[in-house]
Amino acid sequence: MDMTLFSAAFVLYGAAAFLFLGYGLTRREALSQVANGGVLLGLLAHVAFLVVRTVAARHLPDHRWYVPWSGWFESLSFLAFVMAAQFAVIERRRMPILGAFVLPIVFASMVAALRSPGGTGIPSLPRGLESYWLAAHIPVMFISYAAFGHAFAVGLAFLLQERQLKSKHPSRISFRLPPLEELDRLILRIIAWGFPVLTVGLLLGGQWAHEAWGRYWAWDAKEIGAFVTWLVYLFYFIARIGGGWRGRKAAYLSVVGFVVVMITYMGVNHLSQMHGFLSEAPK
Amino acid sequence: MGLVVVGISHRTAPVELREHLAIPLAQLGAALEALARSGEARETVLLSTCNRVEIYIRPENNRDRAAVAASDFFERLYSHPDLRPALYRYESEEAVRHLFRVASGLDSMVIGESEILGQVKTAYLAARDKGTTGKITNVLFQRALFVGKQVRTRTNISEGSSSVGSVAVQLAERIFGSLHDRRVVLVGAGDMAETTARHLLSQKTGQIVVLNRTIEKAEALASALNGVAGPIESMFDELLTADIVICSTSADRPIITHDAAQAIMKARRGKALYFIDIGVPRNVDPDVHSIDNAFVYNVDDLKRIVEENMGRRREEVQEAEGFVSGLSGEFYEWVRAALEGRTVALRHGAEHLPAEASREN
Repeated sequence: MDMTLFSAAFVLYGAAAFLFLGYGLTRREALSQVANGGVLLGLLAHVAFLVVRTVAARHLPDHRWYVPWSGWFESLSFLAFVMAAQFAVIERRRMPILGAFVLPIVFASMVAALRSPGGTGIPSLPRGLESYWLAAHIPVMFISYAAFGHAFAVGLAFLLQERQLKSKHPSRISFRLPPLEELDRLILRIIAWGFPVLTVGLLLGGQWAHEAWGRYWAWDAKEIGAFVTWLVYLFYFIARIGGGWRGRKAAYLSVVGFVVVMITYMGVNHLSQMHGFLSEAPK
Repeated sequence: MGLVVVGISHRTAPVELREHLAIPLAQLGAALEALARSGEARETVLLSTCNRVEIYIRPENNRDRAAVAASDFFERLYSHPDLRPALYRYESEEAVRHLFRVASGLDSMVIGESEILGQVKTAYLAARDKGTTGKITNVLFQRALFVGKQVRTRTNISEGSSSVGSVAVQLAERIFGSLHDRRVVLVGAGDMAETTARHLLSQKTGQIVVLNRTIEKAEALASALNGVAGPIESMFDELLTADIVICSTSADRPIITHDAAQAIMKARRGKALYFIDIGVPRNVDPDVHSIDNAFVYNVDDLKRIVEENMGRRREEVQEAEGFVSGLSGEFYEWVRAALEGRTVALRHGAEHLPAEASREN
């Protein structure tokens, strides 16, 4: 049942991604409306998936604190969910063309979820981590990651528009994309939303680590990665607001920031002692 | 019975001939009355622009006699041996198709231009107010306005701007979005600068500042544009708060160098700045374009974009023509039915039209 719902969300996001790309190429407004509908239906299926899976899992032993973002599959699916939801809230009506940038990333995250090493089953919870902190720290972190993924997508749109205008041969693409300054402001707003969420997530993580392992911060690889991420976005704010980094350089930062997020999220698990649990296959 | 149009346009006559036939809006009423006096026209609409003068008639009883009345009307305006050969005449469905093509900008000098749509509307309203329209022409002209709008939204016939001034404005919108509250600084008070500034003003920009070496000229242009004037020496201060800068001085070397622009961008904390350089020789060092968030477009850049836009419009002509033909055929069915006393519904639905596309400017 839950996987049927996941598949529905998977197909709907995928269809929306292609429709948005088609919309970008053909200027058919109807395509963006259908694609927006696809995103909303996908979100509905996704919420149902999360609920059904949680209800089913909580009957299992040791899953009292289970939340549907515990393993690779679940966390990637959750990342896609939050990103699609942010798109629906922020751009669906005002700048549907950005769906051509955001939805492919949402869909890629869904594909990665299906192909994740741990499979799609309900994972067993790592020893010592069965607590309500799991329900708090991880989703908060993923909401911030989703915001940064979103800023990355808008950053790509910005760089494309900037290239168009610098080329002195603005093509149809330039007219499809939102104006440069609106994209710049949108990136700032999305990061201004993701950054405090990341900060809260790190604080929650510290508190959880204190309760579970007896210390707030251990300079574990994942923790370092998260800290670097935090520094990159802090630098973005300082440079964007204080240092006059607008335009291309600020957009590059939004791209680089998300690369650091991905390294922290995926790569570091293999190096991390304390946070490596995502790499384990479910028992 | 049916419909007939007799006219002259940029396709058949030079401006020297057309200018004698053009009828100013104020005299349109009298002209419509004169045509009505012929007794051959039951319904009449007179369309007069600088590129065409056309008389659309629903004949009282005979199409040929109505067409002759229209030709005679032109002859009375300006009798010249070149006139008769320059007149064209379309009847029935061809007349409908011609009006739809005109309203769509397909018969315009600049393909897809949208001014003609407003002119068709003005001509129709003038005739309606004069009481010379009727059952057929009312629906015909309303339909023509509808078709004109549809063609422009459903094909790319109007895509891209067709003049240097409007391309410059369109680029400003690609950078800033809404130009509301954007500060425009004119450096130099030339004619081209004024034209471009007027294009910007039509987008309701914020304040306009005119700087010029002779302050009197700056003041004259500033008052024409509802802006403020200043001495050229205050240019660098003005550039700190400007969004759009239109340069048109005749200085023999760039007045804005790369180094100066870099310092300005730094002082602006990287806020986007857009130079429209219509000075010859160029007023802004082309290298300024390579500075982050600074954009420089000179006259040649803008002209090239106009050329590209027109090329793109020409590619769309065939699709638009097919679209217009379909709709005029359908409309003429309605005319025939109406004349025979039957009713046929005119569809406003989109099912038989090309898919909808958005306007982008």
